[in-house]
This record gives sequence, structure tokens and C-alpha cells, in this order.
Amino acid sequence: MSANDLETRIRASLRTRADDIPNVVPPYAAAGVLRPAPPVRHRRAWAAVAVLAAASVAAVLIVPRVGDGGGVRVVDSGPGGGVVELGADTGQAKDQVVYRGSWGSGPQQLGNMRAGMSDAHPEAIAPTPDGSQVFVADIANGRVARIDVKAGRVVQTYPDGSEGSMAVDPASGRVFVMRGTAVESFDPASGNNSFVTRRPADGEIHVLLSLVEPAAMGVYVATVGDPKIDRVSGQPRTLPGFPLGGAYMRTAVANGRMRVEKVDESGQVQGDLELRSTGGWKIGAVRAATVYRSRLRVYLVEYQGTLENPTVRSRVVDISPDLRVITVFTVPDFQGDWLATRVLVDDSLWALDGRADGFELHRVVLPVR
Amino acid sequence: MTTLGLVEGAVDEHLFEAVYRERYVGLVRLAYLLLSSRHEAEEVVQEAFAALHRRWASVDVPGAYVRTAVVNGCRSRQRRAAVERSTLYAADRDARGLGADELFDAIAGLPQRQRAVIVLRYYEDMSEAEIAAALGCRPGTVKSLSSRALAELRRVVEQ
Repeated sequence: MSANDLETRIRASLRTRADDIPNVVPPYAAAGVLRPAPPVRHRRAWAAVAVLAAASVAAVLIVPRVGDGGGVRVVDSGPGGGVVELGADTGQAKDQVVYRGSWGSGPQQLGNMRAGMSDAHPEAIAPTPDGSQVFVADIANGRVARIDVKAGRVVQTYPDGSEGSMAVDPASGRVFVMRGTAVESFDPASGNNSFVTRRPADGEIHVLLSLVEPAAMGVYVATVGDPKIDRVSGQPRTLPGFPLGGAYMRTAVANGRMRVEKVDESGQVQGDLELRSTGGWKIGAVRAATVYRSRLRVYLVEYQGTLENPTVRSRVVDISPDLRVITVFTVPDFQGDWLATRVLVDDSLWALDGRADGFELHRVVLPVR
Repeated sequence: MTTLGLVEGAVDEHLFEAVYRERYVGLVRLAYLLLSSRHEAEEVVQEAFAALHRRWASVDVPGAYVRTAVVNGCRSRQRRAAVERSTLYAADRDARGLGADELFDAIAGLPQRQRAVIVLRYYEDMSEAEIAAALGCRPGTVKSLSSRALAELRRVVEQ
């Protein structure tokens, strides 16, 4: 097939599919009056699940929004084990954006940058361990901004850092940017704006999380469908799972069930636990996971139905090193219009949801039992 | 006049509404090609127009601004929903019979940046430079993404 033939078929396919959307009058412009958007709620149903034991309803706190117009866009692990959140607004000039962040003492202006024509759309934030600098990845202008927090200004930008989550390696100071199919890093100290490490992953994968493990001083990433954890900083190595209780814990989801395995350094299985949902629900994915107070804490997504009309619910399960389910937390329906970020940090699940009028950040406290 | 439920500002409402009417359906179609979900596409477009309204005074070319905002909104949702989508895609594919258009299935299955490049190039007829500006990357990156995507699509078509 010639290149022209292929391009012709691609155009035809896209136009055919686009015709699924009828040529209608925009709904909010009827009668010459723009109206507020009707809320579109993808409500999630809740039901008891026998296999996963009794559920505990966690306390939910709504955290004040950051920023004037954009609201909170990003939430991630902050300095000192806390949580950092980030919003963005336009600045005084046409091509200026202002990043506003919050941790510890409250909201502050982190810095502004000449962003060009595009709107700000921060996708990831990574503070240095001492909190003196933060890195912000923005998909609208395709750059990572290095911000001096005290000075409140952008001190450097790096190209092609547009997507994914980020983490700063406390040992080397290198910044790691997780993309859909690769992990890249750059060294702010060198002043070199180019990415110097690329670790392409096999196939179509998505980075599930990044974490900085204090004892081992490194940045680790895990991917959907892969129970292993990759250390990407320092001497890269692959761990068989989350280090816990002198062994490693790993999870795998298949056929609507989740299997939790305890393995040794070589990956040899020492014990396992299978979790199932009932009532037509299936365990779909592990959305976030962490180790907290000697337990593996897993944020699960369960589902029924199809992608076009899904019913999705989420819960957090605490699992002990000896493979017992300690607690199942029912995570409330945040009723956001769309799912944004979920991160587990210390005793809390931080949930960032998109809404028609901005973003809303929730903190769900998951007490240790 | 109510304006998308947002803060009233120095917005030429007639001009804003004209842009809205002219671009709405096309942008929903664009977002639909990037997300494969009509209701999500409508939400992304609504968010983009809301952002345009907020920033009206600082935007030189509203049409280009709102298109870029839609593309970025789609990319953001794609990335964040990737986990759920990867889980549900197979079931949804079976339910909807997407096999009827294997080429579009293949486009929908591309990594998000490759998919965006293909849709912007062959549906929006944008140049490499325009796509690079919209995606916040270099034109060479667009060329590379396009090359990889076309190779994958060719493989599917010729299978």
C-alpha cells in the first residue's frame, strides 16, 4: 500500500467516526443565550462486597482550592512527607502564566513564566526534598519549569517535559519525568536542558506511581499490569515488589481478581492472597499503592459495564506483611465530573477531581487499625 | 447575560458566542476522535470554552487557543484515565463491535501523543509546525511520532 493510500484511508476513517457527532446547534448557545453547562455526573454505585471483608468509611475533608481561575490541577507527594498541590492562572502579560502551590503553611505564588500563546496546563509537580525548589511539567507549553520557591520565580525551563508524573531524586538531585512509555531524567545542576536518560518500556504501558523511598534514597516507578517496581535513579534495578517486612509485596490484576504475592529478592513466591469482588463487580486495576506503617496500602478500582457507560467504584485495602486483609476502606463518591489524580500519602488518599467549574481536592483519611 | 456560569469580564459576548457557535461541533468531533467518548468530548470542549472566556482579554486568536485547550484537555484526561481505560477497553470493544473499523481501532490504540498527531494531521489538516505548537513539542518530535504511528497503522492495514 502506498503512503498516499494509507493517508487516504486514515482520513476516511477519522471523518466517518467524527460523523458520530451530529451537526447540531451547540446546546449552550440556543436562543442567543449562553447558559451554564448542565452537570454531567458519572455516578458510581456502591455495594457491599463480601470477599473483601467489612468496609470502613473514611473521613473526607475538602481542601480549599488553590488559584483564582484554574483551581488545583495537580497533587503529589510534597516535601517532608506531606502533600503539595498546584494551580495555575494567567499572569499580567498575554504570554505569562502564574503557578500557585500549597503545602505546609498555605497557598503561595510559586513563580511565573513566559509561556507563549498557550494556556497553562500543569500536569505534574515535584518538589525537592528541602522544599526550596519545585519542578512543574506543563503540557500546554511543553516544558518543565524549575521554580525557586523563596524567590517566587522560574529560574530555568527544560524542553520536552510535557507529560507524566515527576520525582526528584534526593541523592543526586536529578529530576525524573515519567511518560506513558518511558522514564526520562535530566540534571538541573548541570544547566543542561536536554533529557539524558531514556528507559523505554516494553509495549503500551502507563506509569502507575512514582515514589521516593527515604531509606534507599531513590526514585521508583511501577506500571500497570506489571507487579515489579523499577528503581530508575542511581543504579537502576528492578525490585520484585514493594519492600515490606523483610520481603517484597506485589500485586497483579487479571480476570477481575487481584492476587497479592509475598516474594523474596529473587522473586520466589513465599505466600499469596487472592482478592475478589462479588455482585458482578470485578477488580479492574490498582490505581495507587504505597507502604505505610508496615502494611501494603492499595487503591483499587472496581468496575461493571463498558467504557461508554461504566460504573466504577474505588476502595482502599490494607494488607499486612503476613498476607491478611486488615481493613477495607470504602472511598466515597466524590461526584466529580471526571477522574483526575489519586495518590496515597501517609495516612491519606488525596483525590483530585475535575468539575465543570474547576477542580476539587479531597483528602480521605485512612486511619491505621 | 449569563456567560457559562463564570466571572463576568471584559468579554465581547457577541464575538465569544460567534466563536462558540462556529467551533463547537468541530471541536467536539476533534475531542471525540481523541477520547472515543462523546460525553467526555463535550466536557472537554466546554472546559476549553470556559477557559477561553476567563482569558479572553489575553488571547489573540480565540479559535487557535480553544483548539489547543481542547487537545491538551484530551491529553490530560487520556493520561489520567489510562488505567481505567486499559482495563475496560477490551470489554467495551466487544460490546460495541469496534472491529467494524479496524483502522480506527488501531488509531484509538496508539499511544496518546501519536494518536493526537494522527488526528490533528489527517482530521484537522494541521501542518507539522501547527501540531508542534499545539502539543508543546518540537516539529522534529511531531515527525518522529507521526512516522511511528503510520508504521503501526500500516502494519494493521496490511495484516
